[in-house]
Amino acid sequence: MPITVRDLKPGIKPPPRQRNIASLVGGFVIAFGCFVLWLLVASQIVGGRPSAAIIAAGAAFAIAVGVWIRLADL
Amino acid sequence: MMTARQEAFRTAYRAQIAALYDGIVHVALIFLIGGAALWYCVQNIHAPTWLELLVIPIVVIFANVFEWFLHAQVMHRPRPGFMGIYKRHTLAHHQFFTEHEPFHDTTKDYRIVFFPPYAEIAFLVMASAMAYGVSLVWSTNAALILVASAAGMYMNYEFFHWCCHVRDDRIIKHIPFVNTIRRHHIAHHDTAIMMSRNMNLTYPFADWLFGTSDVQRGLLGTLLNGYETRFVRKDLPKVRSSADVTRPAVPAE
Repeated sequence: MPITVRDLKPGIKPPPRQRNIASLVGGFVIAFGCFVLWLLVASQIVGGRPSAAIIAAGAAFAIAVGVWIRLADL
Repeated sequence: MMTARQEAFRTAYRAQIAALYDGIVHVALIFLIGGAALWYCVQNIHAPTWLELLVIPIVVIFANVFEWFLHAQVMHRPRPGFMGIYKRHTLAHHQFFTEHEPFHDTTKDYRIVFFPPYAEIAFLVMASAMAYGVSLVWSTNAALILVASAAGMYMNYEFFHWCCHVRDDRIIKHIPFVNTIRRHHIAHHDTAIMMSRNMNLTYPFADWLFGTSDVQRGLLGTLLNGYETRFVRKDLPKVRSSADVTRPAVPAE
């Protein structure tokens, strides 16, 4: 988690980097949100229920985004 | 000009950004999510009436006041349950960007310019919950227009905020509203007024409405003020940071 001004004290090193809990929760939230949006957009484009392949691609995309949010500690 | 304190904070903050963070991916996600929500809603709106279209200005005004409220009461106030937002904004964003040096240098700095993308999801979920209520008591068109407008306002917010912190203003300074918010927001980064003035990030409507703008003008003048500083209030507080004062080696006579 990037620091705040309170972590900066003269002569003392900033604390070592550790991931924030917000990026963990946020990773799940954004993965779910991306998957829902993917399904909505896909159903609009194909004009009905999207195929299993499209749903699987959406799930893979959503997981990738969620994992990136965590790894990037956003 | 950057102070030693700000420079030290920037160096320490950048050192803590995760290696896998990418500013372009961050921004792309925000606009992909907002764009997808907006596109889906617009695709499903059919022959809206004038009354339904009136939802757009209502959402714009509501979002403007909400942005003002959130900024003034959550981002600048340590509230239990929302400390993460306060820390990220007041204790980090306002240390990284000051009124003397309000510009980002690289796309890595987008980490502290833009909200994390899940904030957008939370905002869209709130808008969807309201839209569901609207669809029950009124119409599906109105509900879709509500969500589309909310998505548009969110992207508007992020874009305008980026315009405030980008260094090159050759184009921006000529664009109405954008030039206004840029001066308005950079002035807000003055620690003397950051807790009380210039809380809007899109159009300074709520600041005008609640008397928290640093300029003393009518509504149109406030919205289209641009870079003009003639109307800045004279009674604004001023602070001098003792941490950055360079003491002369020899006392002045």
